[in-house]
Amino acid sequence: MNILAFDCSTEYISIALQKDKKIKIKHIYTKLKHSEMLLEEILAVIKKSKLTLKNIDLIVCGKGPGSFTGLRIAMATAKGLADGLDIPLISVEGLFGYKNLSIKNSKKTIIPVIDGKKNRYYTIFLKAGSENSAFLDKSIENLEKILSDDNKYLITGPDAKYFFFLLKRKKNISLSNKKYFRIPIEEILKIGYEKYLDKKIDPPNEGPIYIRKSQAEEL
Amino acid sequence: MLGAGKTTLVKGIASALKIKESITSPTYTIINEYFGKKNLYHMDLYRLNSTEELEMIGIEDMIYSKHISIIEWSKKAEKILPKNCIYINIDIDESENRIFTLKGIKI
Repeated sequence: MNILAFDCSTEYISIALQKDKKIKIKHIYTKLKHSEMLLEEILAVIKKSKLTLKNIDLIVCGKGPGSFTGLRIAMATAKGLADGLDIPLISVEGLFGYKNLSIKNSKKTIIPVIDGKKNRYYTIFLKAGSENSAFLDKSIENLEKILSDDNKYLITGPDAKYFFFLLKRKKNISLSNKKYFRIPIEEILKIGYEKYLDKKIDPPNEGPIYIRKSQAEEL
Repeated sequence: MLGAGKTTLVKGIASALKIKESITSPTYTIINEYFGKKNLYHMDLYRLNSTEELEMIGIEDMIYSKHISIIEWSKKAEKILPKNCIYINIDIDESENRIFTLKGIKI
């Protein structure tokens, strides 16, 4: 089974392609040009594996949280491809890609962060492979308040470095290896495949996750 | 104000960013994107009516990026603009001179 996965929740396009049970990945810096680059990059990755679009059996798409525009571009592209090729589409919460890291570091609470701008960060607390919180959209100060002295924390994710730098308290908190600073697209692909085996295919009205309330709603 | 020199100013900023594309007014397109040393987003929000519309075109991804956004009719986006933005006002005096008033920047 050939599986194509992609995510645009950050300033990068992250693509994974599974062929003969081997996964190849590529992260491309976009300068916010997701819409121009996504399809081209997908086709390049597929071609490099000596496949064509018609050989793809399943599409997995990161559905956020993250860049508003990026999420919409990824989801729209995924829907278009899945519909046109008549193959299933499964969307996966991008930060769930860090569940595997939380299994490997089961004594620590994993906090993957994406800069949501305006001094807010999107995150979720993960512990031993499961969610330990809902998706959060909080300032650093408010996130620091949640941290407890009895736990150990591992900060990771696309904007981990900057977030860690800004953190005032560092007790019991460490920064992950930088190889986890890119969205773990191969893990997203695997989660998508597991959902496929569980027959959890996206319904037609599935859309990105926006955890930030619209400014219009807040007023 | 019509003919005050907004587009001319943007042309100057674009040339500093080594953007080669020609700069046109975003009155009808709402947003024009250019790619140079940094991305340049030139917007005219005149035709937009609500904060929700602004959010739906993804304006926050642009104005909170490392790139440069120039916004005409920025009043419409007041609620979502960052605190540290620079305001430029262009006036024309009786002798057709352009008077630029800058707020939020030290020269």
